[in-house]
Amino acid sequence: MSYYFRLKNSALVEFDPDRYTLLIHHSDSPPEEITLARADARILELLLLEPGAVCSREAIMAFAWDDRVVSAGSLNQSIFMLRNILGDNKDHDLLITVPRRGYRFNSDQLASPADETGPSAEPSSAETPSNTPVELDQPADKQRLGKWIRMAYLAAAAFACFTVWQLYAAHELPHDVEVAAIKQGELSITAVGKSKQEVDALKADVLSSGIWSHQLQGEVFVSRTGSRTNLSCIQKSGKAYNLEFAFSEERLISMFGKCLGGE
Amino acid sequence: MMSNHHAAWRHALIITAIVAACLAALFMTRSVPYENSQPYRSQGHHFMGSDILDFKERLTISEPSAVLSMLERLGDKERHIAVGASLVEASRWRIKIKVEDIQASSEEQLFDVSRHSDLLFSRQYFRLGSILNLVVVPTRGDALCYYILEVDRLRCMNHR
Repeated sequence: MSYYFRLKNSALVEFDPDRYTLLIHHSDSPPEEITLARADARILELLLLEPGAVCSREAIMAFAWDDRVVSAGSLNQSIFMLRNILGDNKDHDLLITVPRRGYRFNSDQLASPADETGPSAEPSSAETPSNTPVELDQPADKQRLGKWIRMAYLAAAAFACFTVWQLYAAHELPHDVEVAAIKQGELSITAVGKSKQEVDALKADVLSSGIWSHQLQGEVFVSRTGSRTNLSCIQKSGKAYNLEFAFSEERLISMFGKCLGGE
Repeated sequence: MMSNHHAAWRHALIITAIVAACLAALFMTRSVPYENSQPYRSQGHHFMGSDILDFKERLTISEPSAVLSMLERLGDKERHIAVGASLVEASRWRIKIKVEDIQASSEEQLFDVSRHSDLLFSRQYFRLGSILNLVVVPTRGDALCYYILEVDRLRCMNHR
C-alpha cells in the first residue's frame, strides 16, 4: 500500500512504507528512488496515516522505534533527515511542527496516483490507490466539516435548479395566447389570438391588405373578437393608440394608417 | 488545522456566491417593469357604423392593487368607469386581477345595444368578484400591451 503526495517543487512522491522507499517522479527527469532509514519511514507512515492530524512526539517515538527507549534527539534527527530528503528543511511546509504538541503532515500536499505524470509514472496493478485508508481515518471534526459542506453544496445546487426553473418559467410566454409577428422595415405587426387558426387568419388578412406598400412605422398588435377587429398601436412617437371596428365596414389598411398616426 | 479552516472558508465563499447569484436572479425575475410605475395611458376609438366612440384609459398597477379607469364619450354623452382590483398574481407575462370595486358615472347607455352587442358583451366581466387574466404581449419598447383573456380585449398603453 503506497501513499502519494507532492513536494513543493510539484514532484509527485510515491511512498512505500513496506519497502521504506520514496519514488520521486520529476516532470523532466526519470523517477528517483530513495530508501529511507526504518525509523524515518515509520515516522512518515504514521504521519500519513492521519494526514492533517497532529501526532504527539511520544506516539511517534513509540511507533517508529517500537517502544524502544530513544532520546528526543533521535526524533529530531529523523525529522531533520526526512525534511532534508523532501526538500522541506527551510519552510517546514510538508512536515509541520505543532509547538508543544508534535508533528503533522500537510494534507494539502496529498495526491492520488491519477495525478502521476512523467514517462515512467504509469501505475502498475501493484500500486493500489493509497488514499483510501487515509481518508477513512480522517479526524472526526474534518469528516463532520465535509458532511456539512456536502449538504450545503447540495442545498445550493437545489436552490440553483429552482432559480433556473423560475427563470425559464418567467421568460416563457403563457400558452393560452398565440402570437405571430410580421416585420418589415420600421413596421412590426403582431397578430394576437387564442388559437393558431385565429392568428393565422389574422395574419392572412394583414398580408392581403397591402400594408407593406404604405410607408408606415411603429408597432401594431391586431386581434379579433366576433365581428370586431382591434388594433393596438405604439406610434413612432411612443404614444399608444387603440382602434376597434367591424372588419366588414372598415378597410384594414385605412385603420392601420389611422392607428399609427400616418393618415 | 489551519488548512482545514482555509478550505472551509473557500467552500463557504463558493456556496455564498451561488446563493447570492440565485437570489439576485430571483429578484430580477420577480420584479416586473409594469408594477409600481407611473400610470399607463391610452386612447382610441370604437368605430360603430356612423358613430365613433372616443375613449381614454388609465391603468395603475401598484402592489397589491390595480386601478383601471375608462372615460368614454359618444357625441355629447360621457361616462366614466373606475375598476378597482386586487392583484392576485403578477409575473413577467401575466397579470391576474380580481375586481373589488366599480365606480361608474350615471350615464348608462352610451350606444345602441341592439346594434353593438359585441361591445356590450365585452364589458360583462367587469363585475364585482370577477377574475381577469391579462396576458402581457412582448413589445419592443416600454409600452404595456396586454390581452384580457376573459373579454378578448387587446390594449396597448404607455406612460405618455
